[in-house]
Parts: sequence; structure tokens; C-alpha cells
Amino acid sequence: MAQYIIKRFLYMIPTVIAISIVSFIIINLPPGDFVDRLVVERQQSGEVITEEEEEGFREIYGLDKPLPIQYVDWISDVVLRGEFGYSFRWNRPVEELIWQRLLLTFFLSLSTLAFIWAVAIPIGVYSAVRKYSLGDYFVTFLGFIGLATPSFLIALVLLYISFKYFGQSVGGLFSPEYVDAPWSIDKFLDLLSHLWIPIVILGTAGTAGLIRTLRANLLDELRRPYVTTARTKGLPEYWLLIKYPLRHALNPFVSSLNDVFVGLVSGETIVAIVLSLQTTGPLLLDALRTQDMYLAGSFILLLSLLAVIGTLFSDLLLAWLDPRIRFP
Amino acid sequence: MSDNLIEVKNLQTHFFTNEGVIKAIDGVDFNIPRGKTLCVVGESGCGKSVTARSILQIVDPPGRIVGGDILFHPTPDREINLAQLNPRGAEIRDIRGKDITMIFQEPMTALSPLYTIGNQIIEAVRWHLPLTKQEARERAIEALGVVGIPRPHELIDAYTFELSGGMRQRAMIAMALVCEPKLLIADEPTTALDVTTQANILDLIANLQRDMGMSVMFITHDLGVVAEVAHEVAVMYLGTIVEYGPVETIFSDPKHPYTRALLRSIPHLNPRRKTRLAAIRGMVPHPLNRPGGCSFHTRCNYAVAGVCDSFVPPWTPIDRTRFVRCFLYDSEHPIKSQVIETPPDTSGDLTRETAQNRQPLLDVHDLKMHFPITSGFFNRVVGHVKAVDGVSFTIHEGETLGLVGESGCGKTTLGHAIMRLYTPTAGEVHYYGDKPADLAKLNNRELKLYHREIRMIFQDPHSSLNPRLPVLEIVGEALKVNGLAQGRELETRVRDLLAKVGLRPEYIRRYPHAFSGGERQRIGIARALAPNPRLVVADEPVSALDVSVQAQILNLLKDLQTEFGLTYLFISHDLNVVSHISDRVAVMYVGKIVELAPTQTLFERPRHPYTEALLSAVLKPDPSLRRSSQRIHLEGDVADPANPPPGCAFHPRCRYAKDLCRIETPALRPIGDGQLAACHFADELALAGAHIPEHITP
Repeated sequence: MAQYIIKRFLYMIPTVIAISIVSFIIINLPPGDFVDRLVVERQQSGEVITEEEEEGFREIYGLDKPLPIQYVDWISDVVLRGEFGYSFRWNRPVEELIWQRLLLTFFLSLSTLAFIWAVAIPIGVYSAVRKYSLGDYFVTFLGFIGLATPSFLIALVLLYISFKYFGQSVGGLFSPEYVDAPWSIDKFLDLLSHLWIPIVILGTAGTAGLIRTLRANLLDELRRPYVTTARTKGLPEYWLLIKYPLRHALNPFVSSLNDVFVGLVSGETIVAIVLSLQTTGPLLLDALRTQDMYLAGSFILLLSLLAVIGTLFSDLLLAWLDPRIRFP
Repeated sequence: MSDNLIEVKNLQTHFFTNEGVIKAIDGVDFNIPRGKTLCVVGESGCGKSVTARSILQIVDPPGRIVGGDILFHPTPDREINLAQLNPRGAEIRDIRGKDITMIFQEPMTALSPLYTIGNQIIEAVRWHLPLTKQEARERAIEALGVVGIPRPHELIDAYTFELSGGMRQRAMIAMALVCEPKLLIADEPTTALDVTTQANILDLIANLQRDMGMSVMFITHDLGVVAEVAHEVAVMYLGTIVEYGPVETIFSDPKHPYTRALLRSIPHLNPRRKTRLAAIRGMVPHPLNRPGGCSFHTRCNYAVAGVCDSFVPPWTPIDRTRFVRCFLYDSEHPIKSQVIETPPDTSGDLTRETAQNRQPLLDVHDLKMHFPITSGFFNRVVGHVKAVDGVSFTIHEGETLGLVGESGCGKTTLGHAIMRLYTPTAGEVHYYGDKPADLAKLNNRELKLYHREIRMIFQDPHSSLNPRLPVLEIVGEALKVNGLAQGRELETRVRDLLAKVGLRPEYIRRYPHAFSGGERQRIGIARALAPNPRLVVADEPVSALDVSVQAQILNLLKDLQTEFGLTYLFISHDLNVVSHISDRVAVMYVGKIVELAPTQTLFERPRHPYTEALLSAVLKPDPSLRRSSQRIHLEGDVADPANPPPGCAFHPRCRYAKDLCRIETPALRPIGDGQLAACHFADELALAGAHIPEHITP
């Protein structure tokens, strides 16, 4: 097992390096750079910027150096000093901007995942064990609706309903008085009271998908001979169901965990914008639009890292769950 | 008071499907005597397993017990009617796993791979007995020791995939026995195992039964197994028991036409007389289309029109211990069958002249097939699985060479290497067809011609046919890709082929799922024969089939060989079948041929201890030959071909092994009269051959 973990960690290193290079290249692919955009913005507000000033800006930001040097400078700062570069747009170091958002995003993602599992597993089991019952048809129907409706639409509907009927704004993750306040118990409770809405919205599609997957997996497993064996041992149905077929059916669940990770971190952008959540999605979108390259690059790097860690995590969990993987 | 542990009375288990009610069990009566073994025998689809599952109330939905009684007597004066218990209730759950336990055919799938065997055994113990975790573990270790698992203290923490097939089945038995049940139900427990392992497991069950005084209900399709283990026998056909009685009389004096037909259709270990097997015509109908009257009348040689097809025969006692369900023995209205016993069609003594004088067709020389084992980041080659390691033999035109050995000995790999499905590591495969060539050296384009002349029949007729192609495409493919026929001509030729293998030509547009196992194997044979091959490699072609169907297919293969002058390489683990069909037999062990001889010589006078052990493990369908005490027990498993033992690979399991065997690898050398053996002491050892009955009772 230890060997397996070490191996998996070693495999991670080249992956992350490759990702950082590719993401840096992609950010620099669009014609022009941040200074060009700055010039355009200034010109629109009537200012004139001379060629020398432009070159001056480039020198300050380090944009005059060749790309590989820029990459090496940036990545060595990241690795050695934990500095992610400077956001041109916000005039602040990148790390000041992203850590809080990343933390919030991660917290939101994990809560959503917990929500999805807590809802999807019991419903999935019910719907498999009582196949073609009224209840099965009902949750299947709900599941299809959940799958088919875009999350941002649900967000809009919820916003509308809560504003119209409860007179309450549900946007954001904090009440206005806590937005810039330092962390405290009250702020955390306030976060929790806001969190459930994005969790439900973000979790709906995932829940619906997982119900379908679990139902299908479980239907396969329920017919396996080891279930009959367990029954001949005199185990009660509920115990046997959890210990044998459910445990087997969870394997594909766990191996799809990393997809859930990536999807949650990058896929919630539209919902976050609609609900004005202070998560990573909106900031990343903004950074990409304005070619704020160090901010965007750092985001992509961190998100990729998260995806790689998520994959590692799900692989290790799988190895722990399934001895067949542990013993190659 | 009752001497019987279980009394089943008029049991009916039906399956309520969308297509209609399937009467899987339709009025079954039998008893399981205390401390004895009842064998339930019949072809697949006859309701054997459902009967067993009904006793434990674990019939899968939509199946349900709809009538009858299952009286269970835990002590002679107590009686519980299992059929009336709630299948999910606490009462039946207390009986399951404690008083009545069950083992299954495939221990790999019947045990969960996610938990250690210890976990699964301890669970059964703790659910039924008031023991602590530690006590339960001690008890599980003890049970594993009793069933002959070596080092039970360590292996209790093993997972199923770390154990061999035989060890897994032993672990399964340990799990079933750990609470000391009164009845063990064994559902084809040895069908998936090698003959040698099967013999060990059967002995184990018999010994445990004697020591623990439990009853056993043993379900099997193999009459050899029945003869070996049964006290009482129930023969099942389409949801009813057609004959019931003590094992000796069932074999010596079978009454029901189905029992007689089953007994006649098994290939006996008889290398002298090459007779046709007496197959039962047709096959078991689907339970949805159960024939009216006596359900066997459609396949019965004695059936009387107007009686057997109209009325259900009554359950008739022959004497105090025997019952039969047939109008031939009806005390009130016994019928006089119009058909006097049609002797089995054994026309033509099929023994052919010895193959020595014929032309060689295939000459395999020092063939090696090694598979690299890789490891680490850069897939370094750290070793080789030597699946085939220096094999030489010749097949002559028109003969059948049998290839036997336990699973994992390299039989199938050898077949595939000859077919050039693999590229051999080394060696030559000379084929002397119209254009002689060394197949081992040819590239794919050059091989095309030879894949027309050398064809293959596979074991599993379910997975070896593409379910999305109609029969026309499956059988005609080889003709089409080789440009031998197309359009109307193709269709005509496929129709001819179907007729030759005994299928109706009008089935040409059907898909494989519409056929039974035996019919599918016929399609597989038609596919092999399509481009008029000269050599057919048949890899376990009848292993997945029922005895009666197996007899049909073996007869068909023989007929086709006579008609087209085919040459067979017949791979099988079943020595009865091999003795029946082969002219010469090669025995393989860990990638090497250890003995090769004409069939009769090999079976009567084996020269290699491995052959002797294999022959001794063959079960004879004759209860008077039970002789488990004389059987040679092959302990352990086939050696790992990646790391074979030094010297003779068989020495760790060989009872004659001496120091020389551990050092020097014996070469395959002639021992007179066309016999070859790879044993240092082949000349000195007096090895026992198979017991071959002089007269075979029909």
C-alpha cells in the first residue's frame, strides 16, 4: 500500500509540471497582452499613452522578457516563495486575492459533495431495491428533471421566489455586514445560513446523476452470487445490502469523485455569477477576459492541482475500499 | 418421529414473468435422510437449483413457492414447515447459515472479493453463535484447518483472489460448515474445478459428512459425481422428479427412460471401443413450453401416443425405496410401449487404423510461448510466464490428437500459438497442407491462406458468437473474407453447412440468442468448417454443455471427421471425453508435454506419474467402483509457469520423486510402442492405468 501511495505521488509531479506549462502557454495565446488592453482602456477614457510609457509598463510587469523566462520567473516564485505574481488589474499580489476565494470554493464544493452523497445514496438504494415501484418512478422522474435543468436557471428561479415571496436577498455567501468583517463564529454561522442555497442548486444535477448511476450499479450487483451467499448465511436484508452490493456499487462512485471535484470547482461559475458568490469562478472569468495573466495562470494552476489531488484522493480511497487494487 | 431431516411434499415453485408463469418446480416429492447424501441430477434448466433454493427460501424474484410443504426436522420430534415461513423473517434466517447452509459452483463470484475470507466466515459465526470476535476467529481458523487449507492462521486474512480455485471452494465449505449445520446443500460445487481438485473436494465433503454426521443435498449434472458421493438419487426433468432411489439400483437398474438415456449418453473411459454415443435426441425444452402430459415424451423412445402426451404419469413406487414417474410402471394402467427398446445407434465400430502410417499434417518443433512480466515505471521485463516451453509433437492427417492437463498447464495457449493467434517466442510449426510452410514464421498476410485450412472451435458457445450478427454472417464470414463465395452462393453454402451440423437451414437469418447452448456450439462448428479446413483446433468444445448435448456434439464431430477427413487437435480437461474421441493423447504439465501415447496405451499403461494421477481422479459412473481410499491425491496446484520448480516441474506433487527429479529436467523420450514420457523413472515405475470396465451396461 505504501509503495502504491508513493508511486501515485511520483506520477503527480510530471502531470503538474505539464499542466503549469500548458496553462501558461494558453494564457499567452491570445494576441496582445495586458498592456495593450490597458492602453485601449485608457484611450477610451480619453488618456493618451506614449510608446515609451507602454514599454515602461511592459518593463515593470516583466512582459518584455521572452515567454520561457517569464514562465520560469513565475513558477520559481510560486514554488520557492509561495508568491503567485502580481495581478495587474487589482494591483495586488495574486495570493492576497485568491486564497480566501479558493478556501470558500473548496468549502462550498465539499459541502455540495456531502449533500449530493447524503441525498443520492439513500434514494439510489431505494430506487434499485424497489425497482419499478411507484417510488422508483417518482424519484426517477425528479432525477431527470434535475439532470435536464441548467443550474443557473434553478438559481434564478430560487432568487426570484425568495425575493418576491420572502423579501430576502439570497445572493452572496455573507450578509452585507459580514462581507469585510474578520472571521468569527457569527460570520461562520452567517456563511452557513447562506450556503444551503448554492449547495442545493449546485448539488441538484449531481444528485440526479448519481442516483441514476447508483441505481444502475446496484441493480447489477444485486444479482451477483455473493448476495445469495450472504443470504444463505442468514444475514438480514438491510445488513447484507449495505455490506455487500452497496459496497461493491460504490466503486464507480469513488472513481468518479475526481470528476465531481473538477466539475464543482470550475463548473459553478455561472451559478456563482448569478448568485454573486465570492468564489473562484467569477474572478477567474474576469482574469481571463482582461488577460490578467498571473492571476489567471495561478488560478488554472491551482485548479489543476486540485483536480490532480482529487484524482489522487479518489484513487487512494478506491485502493482502500477495494483490495483488488491494492494487490496488483 | 422421522428418520428424514427434510421431507419435501408436492413442492411447487413458480416464476411469474411477463411472458407467463414458468413452473420451474411443479410438484416435487423427496426426502433427505439424516446423515446421508441425496444427489439431485439432471440437465441444466431442469429445476435442480431452484429446488435447493426453495428449501432455504432464497428463490430470486419473480420466483415464489406457491404450494407444497418442506418439513424440516432439526430433531426427530420437532417439525418446521420451511415453505410456510416468511422468506425475510427471523425464523428462516436463524435456520439459514446455522442448520442449513449452502455452497455454490463458482467460489470466485460466490464470495465477495472486497472482504477477507476470514471476515466472511466470522460474520456467519457471530450472527448465529454467542461468541466474541476472538472466539469466532479461533473457530474460523479451526474450520479452515478442517477443510485442508494450509497455514489457516495466515490465510484467514487472505482475499479470494489470492487463492486458487480449489482453495476458494475449501474456504467456501469452511464458511458453510463453521456452525456445524445439519444439512449442507452443494450446488454443483466441483463443476468449475479441475478433475484433480474435484476429486479432493468430493473426498473432503464425504469425510466431513461422515465425521459431522450431517446430511448433504448434492446438485450435479455429472453422473460420475453422483456415483461417487450419493446414497440416494433424485433424477429431475423439467421441474419434476422422474425417478428416485438408492444409488446402486439407479445405476444398475435404471427404470425411467430419461435416467437410462442419461446413463447411456456419458462417454465412458473406454479407449478400446470407439462407438458412437447414444445421445438423447433434441434438448430440454424451455420451461415455458413444457410439453403436456409426461414432459419427457417429446424425447422419449418409449412414448405412446394418446397416453404419454395427454396424461401426467403418477408417482409410482417400484419397491419400498424406489419411485418412478412413468406409465411403463403404472400399477393400474401399465402401458405396453409400441417401441421396443431401440438399441442406441452404435452403428459402425469407429476405431480406425492407427495413425502411424499416415502423412504428418502438422509438425510442431520445440515451440515456446513466453509472456513477459513487466514491472516498475518503465515496464522493465522482470521475468517470463513460460506458458508453453519447448513442445514438440506431430499430428497426422485424419487423426485426432487429444491434449489434456489441468487448467493453467498451457493447453489453450498451445492451441492459440498453433493458430498463430499469438506469435510464438521460438520454435517451428510446420504445416504440410497444399502449400507447406512454417506457420511460426509467417506474417499476417501470409497466414490468411492457412487460416482457411486451420480452424478453431471455442469452449463457450455463448461468448464466442457475435450476438449482433445473424447466423448467415457468422458462418459465412470466413467464406466472404477469403473471397470463396458471396451473395446467393454464400447463402446456399451456409445452408448446406447448417444442415451438415444438424441445424435447420431456415434458421439462417436468426441471431445467436435464439439458440440453445448445444445449437450455438453447432453454429460454432459450422463456422469452423465453412472454408473446408483440414485441421481443426477444438478448445474444450463440449465442456460447457450438458451430457446429452455433449454426446450429440461428440458424435457430430466424429461424423464430420469421417465425412471430410478432418484432423483434430482436441483440447480438453475431461479424460472421459478425450478417451472417447482421440487416437493419441498428449498430457501437458506446466508448459511441457509430459507424456504422449496412443489412447489405449496411455490409459492402460501410463508412464508418467502425472498421467497416473489424472487417470485416478476420473470419476467413473459406477457406484461399485467407489475407491476414494485408493485415489492418488494431487496436493497443491499446478506450478507457477513464471517460476517453475527446478528439475522436473511435477516433482513437488509427485509421490515417486527422488533427488534426481529435483535437479535434472527429464526429457520427453520414447518408451517403446509409440509412447513418449518425460520421467526419469518411466521404465521402472509400475503405474496404474484407468479401470476400464469389460462390459458397459447400457
